[in-house]
Amino acid sequence: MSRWGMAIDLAKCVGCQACSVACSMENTRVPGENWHKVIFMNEGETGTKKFTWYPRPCQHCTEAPCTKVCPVRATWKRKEDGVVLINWYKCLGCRYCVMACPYGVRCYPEVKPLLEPDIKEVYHGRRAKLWDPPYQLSREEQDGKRGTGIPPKGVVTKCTFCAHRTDRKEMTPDRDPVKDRDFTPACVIACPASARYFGDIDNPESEVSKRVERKGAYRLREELGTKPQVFYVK
Amino acid sequence: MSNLFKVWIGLLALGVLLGLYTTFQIFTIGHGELANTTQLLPWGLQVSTYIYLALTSTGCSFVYCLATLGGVDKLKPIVPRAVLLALLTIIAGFTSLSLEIGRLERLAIEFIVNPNLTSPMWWMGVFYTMYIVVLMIELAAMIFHIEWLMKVGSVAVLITAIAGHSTLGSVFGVLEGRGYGFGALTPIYFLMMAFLGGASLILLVSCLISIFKGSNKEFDEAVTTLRKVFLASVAIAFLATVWRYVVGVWVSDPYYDLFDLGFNKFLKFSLLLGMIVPVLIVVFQKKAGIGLALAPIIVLVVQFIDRNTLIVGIQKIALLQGVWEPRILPYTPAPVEISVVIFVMSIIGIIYSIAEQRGFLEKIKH
Repeated sequence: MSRWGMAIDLAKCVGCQACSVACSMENTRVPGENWHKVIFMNEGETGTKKFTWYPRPCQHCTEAPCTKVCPVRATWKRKEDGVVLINWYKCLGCRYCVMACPYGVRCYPEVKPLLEPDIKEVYHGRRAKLWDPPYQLSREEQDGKRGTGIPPKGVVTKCTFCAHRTDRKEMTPDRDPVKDRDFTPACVIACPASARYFGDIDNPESEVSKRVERKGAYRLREELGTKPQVFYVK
Repeated sequence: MSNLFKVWIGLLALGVLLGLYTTFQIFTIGHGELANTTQLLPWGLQVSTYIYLALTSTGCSFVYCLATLGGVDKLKPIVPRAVLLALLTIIAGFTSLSLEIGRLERLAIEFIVNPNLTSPMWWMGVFYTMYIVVLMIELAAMIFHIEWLMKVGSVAVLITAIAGHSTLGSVFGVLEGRGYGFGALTPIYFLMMAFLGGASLILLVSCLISIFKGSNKEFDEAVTTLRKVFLASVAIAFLATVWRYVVGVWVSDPYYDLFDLGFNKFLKFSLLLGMIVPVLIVVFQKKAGIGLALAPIIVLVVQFIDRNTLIVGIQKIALLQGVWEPRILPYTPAPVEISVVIFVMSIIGIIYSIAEQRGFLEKIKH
């Protein structure tokens, strides 16, 4: 079995948010629809405050609560690579998955605009599309069944581990951001500190598995038993 | 038809017209663009109104089953009213919910074609659909005097009401990442609160009937029994509320902090005003009238606000919040959300008032 996973080295991460910007650019998200966020947190008491930042893509949980609660199986976990995706042709827009996700990674882009003018109005959507920006993924890369590209109105969206890029090539132990540039998630390529490792976490020979093994990785809200496929190492 | 009744119906008709205009806006502009729900707080006033109305509907069914299955014969005069109110409130609740869903047109077909048996929401849809069908059959059985169907229907109403409403509780009970709603107690809590909502609505309606239509011995006896049912329902709700809160305050997990932050409001508003004051009113006001009607009015208003506090509260503590984001997420309902609430409440009011005024409910055999 193979599963895509990501290891994020927090000792290398500089909190520049290049990953968030790259994600929004690559996937053409509207302002506020943050598939990938960098969350700045305080550790310690007042006077001894220490900043830590957690880059937070979708955790692609092994036991994903979102797939269990979706009433119509619109959100699903792909068997081939363990990536959690949304089928926009089935999604009801009930947002139960948004409620169920303990990491707050899911978005409902059809809300009041974060910035004026509303970019959805500036590039008004045609043929049921939420909006129609001049720069977007190619027609082949836009696939509503796996939730890549511009969504229709009234559906939930989320990080796909850039499935439109990773799907172009068969599963490999690692995706090198330089050699495999076209087949690697945008956030991994954009990281200036090379703090991200993306590969098959079920393959013990992959770099991501070695990083997780060597550095004693941990996962967000591990107590919930969701078993995320995104690991943090320090 | 009195002038007062005409004014009342006129106001409700205005509410329906406002709602129709709002519905048109929702379908043309989009609900998300008009409502104040956000990426981080996706369920707002319309969902809490749905919960509130579903809860009230279940409570009406419980009171109805007390009369038909529990052998409390003195409640028989309110039986048709309870069934009609149960049906109207659940349909109004689903109207409120439907207008919040992003792709309403897919709902029916996807629920059938792609069922997810692990989803509480899917089961909720199934049980509530059965509940609505059973209520309709029950009402038809009463209208056409089909005795055996009424008896079978009562049992079916009770089963589907319990199944539907506890499953609705489980929709929130399974959200393990959100402490304010998570837990095995949540479905039970929903059921225990339901009784209060239903008993209050039926007591209120009975008082209003006594005030505007006059009363007779049979109806007075029903109101006396309803007072006892109301007191029992407050006792049950009191236990459920207090234990939920005590456990919530006890937990030190930051996702349970809303229990601490809302403790004062809980004591003064939910318990003192929402339960203790109504109990005192019912104890001292023995006859149906304006005085007695005040108790269910207070309960219904407090419950409405409390349901909103619960549903919004479940989402209020931001998940993995950073230092530059608010820890407690803000939410105030938008005009469109308030309009939908007025719309669905007006639907209940207008249909029920006309049924009552025409004497339709008095003709039904019970």
